[in-house]
Amino acid sequence: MKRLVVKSLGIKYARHVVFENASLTIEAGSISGLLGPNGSGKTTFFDAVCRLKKINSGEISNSFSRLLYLSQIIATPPVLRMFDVFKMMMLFCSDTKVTQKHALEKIEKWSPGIAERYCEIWKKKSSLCSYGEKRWFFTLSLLSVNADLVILDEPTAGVDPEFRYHIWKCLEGAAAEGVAVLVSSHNVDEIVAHCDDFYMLSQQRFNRFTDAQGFMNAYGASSLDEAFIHAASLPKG
Amino acid sequence: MKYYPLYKPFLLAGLFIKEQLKEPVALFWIVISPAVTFYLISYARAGGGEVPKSYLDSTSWFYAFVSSSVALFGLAFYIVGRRESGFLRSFVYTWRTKAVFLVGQFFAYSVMSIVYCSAFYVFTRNYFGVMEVAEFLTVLARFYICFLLFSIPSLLLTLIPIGFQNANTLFSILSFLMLALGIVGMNSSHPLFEVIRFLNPMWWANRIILVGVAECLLLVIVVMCFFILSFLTTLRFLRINPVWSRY
Repeated sequence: MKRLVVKSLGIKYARHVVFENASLTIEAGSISGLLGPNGSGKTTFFDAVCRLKKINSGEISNSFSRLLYLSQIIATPPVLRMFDVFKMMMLFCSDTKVTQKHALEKIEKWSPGIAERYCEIWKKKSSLCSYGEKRWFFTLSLLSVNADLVILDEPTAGVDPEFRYHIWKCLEGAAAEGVAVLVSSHNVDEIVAHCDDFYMLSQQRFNRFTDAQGFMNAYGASSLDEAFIHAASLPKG
Repeated sequence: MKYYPLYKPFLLAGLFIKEQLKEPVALFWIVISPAVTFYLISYARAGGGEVPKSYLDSTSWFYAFVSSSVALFGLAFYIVGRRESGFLRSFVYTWRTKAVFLVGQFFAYSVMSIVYCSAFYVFTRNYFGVMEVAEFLTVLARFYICFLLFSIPSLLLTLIPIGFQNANTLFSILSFLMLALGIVGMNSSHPLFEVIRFLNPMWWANRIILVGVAECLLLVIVVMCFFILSFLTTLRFLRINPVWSRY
């Protein structure tokens, strides 16, 4: 089975240690969540997996062959319409030609009733799309590419509940077809509800959990948010 | 479908050109402003009783300047702009995507350079008589070599970690300095100006436009070699993250 295995990872910026002896495993066909407070290193970790950031120690072993990464920043040429933005995105993200028909077939299968909304945004000028619409459009379009590891940095940030629902449905559909999904979010509830397992980034390490109760017990909390706050406030190192 | 990856830079260049054409005011100004400046200077010279020279003698500095503008404010400025807007951060994060992006960007501005050169030729040639296809193609070839010449420093300048506004200022200063030093050094035999002339790409571009590609073969070969080197250097060290980002 294909997997991403991170062993004893160490990353630092100058004297600021972000990760020390951090380990994690992501397997094909599963959705893994990544929780952590702002500035804890979620994006740095994704950058390291994508080789945009050098690691100081440890090992990242990746047996997936087609990786896709949707970063927090989404910038599109404002004068182009979203179908041209789609074409541009696919030129960078796919080795084979991906058409609207191909994308629609996949996302309609994963989340029925979505095609009409997708087609509405498809025709819109990029500058007239809201941030949430762009994130939704990008996330779903990327999922339709034949990738085996998809990394999404806060895909539901700024997205309304309807679009958020469709994003999670599509993530679950992609995972059921064997895609490994690694997704970060600040919304603990959605990570706990939709992910097969999740990691809390605390004390410069990844702490793995598979359910809400285990997460709350580990940090002596009575709610998910309280557990997150306790984990985030633990002393570093 | 097997050859699809090879078409990618061309398809991307098509989208970049479409993006340019959708900003008609900017396009119109870049095409029109050098021609208007040319007519203003010609008008001022005619008022001073100066005899009009041949077409290329009169326009060589303009062609050199326009080619530098395409390289600096088209090719390089859009790379900085796409970095600072976060576009590169969104999609261009592997060696392969960097190559697709840079080759696509280069193809797009190669086409734009041909458009700018053609427009300037059409707008200014009638002042000196009837247009000729052979002459136009000669000018176009010389202009394109000048574009490659200016692409060398332009590509390398994109590697400096500066924001959008500072890049605009830096490119404007460089463009002005190259032109000013080129014109000032034209009639001076002072040793200092000879050194400046040698280091000034605008002066070399003016030579290529005036003398020709075949006549400046050694220079053209040097330009080609340095262009390939600067392109590969940019590919290797292309900055993905915006300067304003903490990453």
